[in-house]
Amino acid sequence: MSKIAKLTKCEIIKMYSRGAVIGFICAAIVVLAMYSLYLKEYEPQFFNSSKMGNWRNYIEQEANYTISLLNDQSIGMTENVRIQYINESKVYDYLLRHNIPPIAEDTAASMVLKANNLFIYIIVCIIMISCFFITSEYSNKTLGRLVMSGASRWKILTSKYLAILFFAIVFMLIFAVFTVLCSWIVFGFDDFSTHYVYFDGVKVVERNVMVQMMLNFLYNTVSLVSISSLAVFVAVLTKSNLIGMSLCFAVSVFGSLFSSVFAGTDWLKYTLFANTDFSRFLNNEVAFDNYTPAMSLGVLGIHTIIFVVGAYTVFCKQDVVI
Amino acid sequence: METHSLEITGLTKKIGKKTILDNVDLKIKKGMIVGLIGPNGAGKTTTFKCCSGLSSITSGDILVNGHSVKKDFESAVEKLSYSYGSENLYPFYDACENIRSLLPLKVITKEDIRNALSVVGLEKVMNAKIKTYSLGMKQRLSLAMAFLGKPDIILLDEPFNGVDPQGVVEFRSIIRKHRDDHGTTFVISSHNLGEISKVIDSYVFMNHGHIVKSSSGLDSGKKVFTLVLSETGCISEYLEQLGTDVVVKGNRVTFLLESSELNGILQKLASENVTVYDMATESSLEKEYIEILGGENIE
Repeated sequence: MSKIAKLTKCEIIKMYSRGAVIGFICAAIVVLAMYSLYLKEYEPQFFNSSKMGNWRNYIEQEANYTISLLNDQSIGMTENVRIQYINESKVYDYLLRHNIPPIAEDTAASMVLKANNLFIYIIVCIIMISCFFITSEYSNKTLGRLVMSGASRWKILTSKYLAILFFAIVFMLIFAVFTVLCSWIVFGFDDFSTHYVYFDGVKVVERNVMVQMMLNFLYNTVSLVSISSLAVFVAVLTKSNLIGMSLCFAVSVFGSLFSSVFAGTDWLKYTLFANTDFSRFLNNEVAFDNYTPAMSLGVLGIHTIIFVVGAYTVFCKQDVVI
Repeated sequence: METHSLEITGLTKKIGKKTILDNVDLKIKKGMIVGLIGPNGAGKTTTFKCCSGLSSITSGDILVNGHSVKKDFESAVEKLSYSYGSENLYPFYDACENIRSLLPLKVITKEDIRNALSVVGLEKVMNAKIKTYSLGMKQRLSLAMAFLGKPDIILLDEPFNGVDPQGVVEFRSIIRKHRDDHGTTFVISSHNLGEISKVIDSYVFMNHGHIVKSSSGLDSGKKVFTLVLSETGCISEYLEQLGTDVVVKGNRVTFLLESSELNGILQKLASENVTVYDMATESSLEKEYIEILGGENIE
């Protein structure tokens, strides 16, 4: 086994032997269970299973209402809202033409799609764990011992980085599995054969619910890699758990809000703030005109490279305080 | 040809404009136990940090078993162990977990761990969390970790800190036994000159980032005795006959001698009816420390 593989294995064991990490995973399951119950008991449901019998009627009504809104000149509709209604009517048209019923909001299929809203919880956990995982080596003064373990410093940081990414992916998988389990327990068994239809900004897309959920998680993984890199960089740079976490939270949690508020500012799309939620492209919630996933991926990639190079430079050059 | 475990050539370390180490040259032979002695800020720990790769080197080079720390870091530190105190362990792990986590690349069996912990007297508490350990116990664990993985050279930074007197005696014997059994080279820094003098073969004095003096051998068993006597004539002649350097100032006689020879001196004084008013001892290392450093920063 190579030195990096041995070090990574050791880091993964270290990570999972901490109570806090297991605590985050258990808390994720609790959050999912509570969110499922909230959706069932308190979330307003416009289209539920009871209306499934005459769903075509319901969709036709919705489509007609949307068209009437678009035709009503007295409504001072902004261009963005207008486009949104046009896209909605395209989806309604697609559903009716292909005889695809919409997803009832009181079903497990609806729950697995809405679980994407809880991705922020995963982000928060990953930031906390990444920062703590790096800064605790400084606060425990154990970094010196690791540096002397017989591997170059870049290998030590790589092993930590890989352990964090491994944890992030495992956490996402656990989250995905428990999303399905919780939705089955709360809403009843569903084989997820239902199809989800939406407008992706260019065309109407029809996709299996399960595939859509997996894509949501996959797109979120892109954001997660970038956020993890930022967390590692900030932790190495500041060596402070508190500063590291605060900075990462500010970028990831408030970043989306910030970019929505300043959506009109075109240059903002090149900042990390505007790109932390990559799954927006799946749901056509992009705040900037002519902004493609490839462009966002490029911006995230450049930021990730800057963070990784920065982290390695600082980690490999700085003297270790003992 | 003599083999050196550690060869330091022109080692200079600067932090900003401040020079911490200034052109340090040092060669340590394989299997030696060398004391690195000096006041706070002399550069002892920085020297250790440079040797183990924890600090960058401004200029010069360090060869560990012939491998350059600058150019071939992994090979250089592979057989080097550096123990730098007790507060560098995971508090939420037990001793075994700490060893496994902090020495991930060493090939260590359960038996090795058990043996190492047994040598330092921690076998019974090996399953207790480190946060429950005392300072001395952590120091013992650090020493045990330094021995694991069969290193060729071990750097010990203040190994006697926080260790009780019985522990210090045990530490000395463990270090000597390990050297005798495995031929390991030890470089030990300590402020406890009395204790370090009992374990080292030679010493290096450092001050202000320079090597002030190094010796190839040490009269480890000898001590400096100062007697205050009613009459000094006969005893000074007697000591000179023994070949010992004697300094007489008034009624005060200072000389270097093996402790076992003191009895003979006292019997001689009694037979000559000379009264001993006072007697003080210090290790030869302490005396040298004071002479070399001019009494500055005596700890």
